[in-house]
Amino acid sequence: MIKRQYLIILLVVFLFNEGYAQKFDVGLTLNPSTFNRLGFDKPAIIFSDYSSADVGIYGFSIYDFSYGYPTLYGLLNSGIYLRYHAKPFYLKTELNYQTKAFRFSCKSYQFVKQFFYYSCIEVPLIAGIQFNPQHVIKYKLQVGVNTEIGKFDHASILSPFNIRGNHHDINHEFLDRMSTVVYYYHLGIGFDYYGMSVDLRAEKNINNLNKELSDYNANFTDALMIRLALGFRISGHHLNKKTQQLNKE
Amino acid sequence: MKYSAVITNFTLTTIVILSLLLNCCKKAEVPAPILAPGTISAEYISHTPTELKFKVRFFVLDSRNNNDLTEMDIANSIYIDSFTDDFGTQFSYTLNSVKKVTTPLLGKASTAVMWDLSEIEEDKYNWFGPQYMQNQEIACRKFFKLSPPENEFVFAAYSTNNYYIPNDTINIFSNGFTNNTSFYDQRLAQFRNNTIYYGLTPVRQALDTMLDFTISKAKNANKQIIAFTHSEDNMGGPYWNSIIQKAKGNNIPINVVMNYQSDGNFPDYIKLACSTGGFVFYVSNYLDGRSLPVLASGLNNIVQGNFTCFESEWTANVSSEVFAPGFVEASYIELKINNNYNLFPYMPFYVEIP
Repeated sequence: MIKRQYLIILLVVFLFNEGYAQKFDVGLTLNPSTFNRLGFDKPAIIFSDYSSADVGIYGFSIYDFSYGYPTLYGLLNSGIYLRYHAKPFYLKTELNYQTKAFRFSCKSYQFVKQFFYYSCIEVPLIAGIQFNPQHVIKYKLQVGVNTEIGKFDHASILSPFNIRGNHHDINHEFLDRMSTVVYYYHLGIGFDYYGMSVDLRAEKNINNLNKELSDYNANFTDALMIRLALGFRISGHHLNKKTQQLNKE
Repeated sequence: MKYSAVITNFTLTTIVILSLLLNCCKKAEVPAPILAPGTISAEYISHTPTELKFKVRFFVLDSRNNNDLTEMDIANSIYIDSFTDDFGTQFSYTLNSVKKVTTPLLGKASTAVMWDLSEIEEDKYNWFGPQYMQNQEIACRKFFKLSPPENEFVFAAYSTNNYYIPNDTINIFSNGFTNNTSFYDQRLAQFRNNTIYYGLTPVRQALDTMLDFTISKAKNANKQIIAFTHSEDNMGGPYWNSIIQKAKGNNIPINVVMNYQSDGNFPDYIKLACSTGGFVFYVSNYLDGRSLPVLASGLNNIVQGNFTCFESEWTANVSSEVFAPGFVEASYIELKINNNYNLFPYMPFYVEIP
């Protein structure tokens, strides 16, 4: 259902494109820093090799989550964007490659510094407003929906995830339990400065993160993310301004 | 647009190339074998003042054989070490025969699993404590999950002054037996977070409570107790013989999975298992307990019977006349193997001359 909505929005964007080509710009995105929090409803996740991993501690609600923080993978989190301007509003869509890393909150002896990693393709759709569009630094507020698709596991190659003495691919099992497509809503603030945009976005999942709910195994409850999202315009809006001026002359 | 496509492609290509390179660099490792040896039963055959014949049934599960009974040449691999006791009597042992046998079918089982959460005092075990607890957890979960639907089980833990079980001799984590193989998943994962437990081992009291619980709540005729222990006994409770009588009277074998502590009541545990018809699994050579998950693969077959194991017959000879009614032969069979892997598997047993 949500996919259809996306298609309609994209269609509208392209219809606008016919008449207002000069109002579009395209660019590169970079999400170098992401703070993630993944919640679970039980303290331990059980794997198919009969082992388990801690994802929370009894009685300490603040620790009942697994946290992720920026890693070097952030340097690979990049993509492209397309933005439509109808001042002071704008619509923006992105296509990003994104890696998400989570650290178990429970620092039990066995699982120190263990991560759950996965990479995915993201398609955020954003609507925003610029408060001072005439200024050089344009402050903005934005809301949107983000679709996370095409998850894949590269843990066996890049991740140090490995429980001591146990070579089972647990990262893969984590990923296997997660819904193939996850939708997030997001709220962001930021500013545009010439061809660069700087956003701080908070995102939370909309649909269930689990493929199947289990009575005795830990289920994902929610995923929260705060990310620094950068955009670098490479063509579009600013070039068209010159064209408009030439046409007027 | 062109540049963005190039850069995105570049990052993805880099990942693919890196992954291929790293995968190519990996060496194919052959995992070291894990052997899980245990004693099924020990039986007196005959004796003279200087000669004792006895029979020991045992198993050696082998990771190289899909955690099934080992295919190694067992007749040329087992021995009992000679020794001289404090009175100067020399003991020597000869293997008469060894063959494969199948244990009697006992049918669907009601099994009570008990964990010892007291402190592991030996430094070497403390060092490996976390892995030991983790392997113990994996073994129990595997045993539960591999249980056929007609089997039922209950899980309990015993200790005192423990963070998790304060002031309790034993904590049985449900009101009865269950055949839900996932029921204890979270409970089993709870205990390994603390790597060193502080508490005493009220094993006799715990066993007595567990026996009463099993007698009253177990539905199947084949009732069993599996006690995971560090072979200590620091608290009071009924005498060992009283527990043995109670278990035998109710036809409940007490199986013992143990590691060793120098100040432990090692012989009492062996006697407990061998006298009640339970098996002894001595986690001797793998301090981290990595043989426990291998044992778990065969555990359901062991408790249900119809389990293929080895039966060995031995003759003990002594230099002076010591064999008489009431004499106790408590020793262990050792497994002689290609010791590239530093394995020293022991199978303890207890035989009493009637």
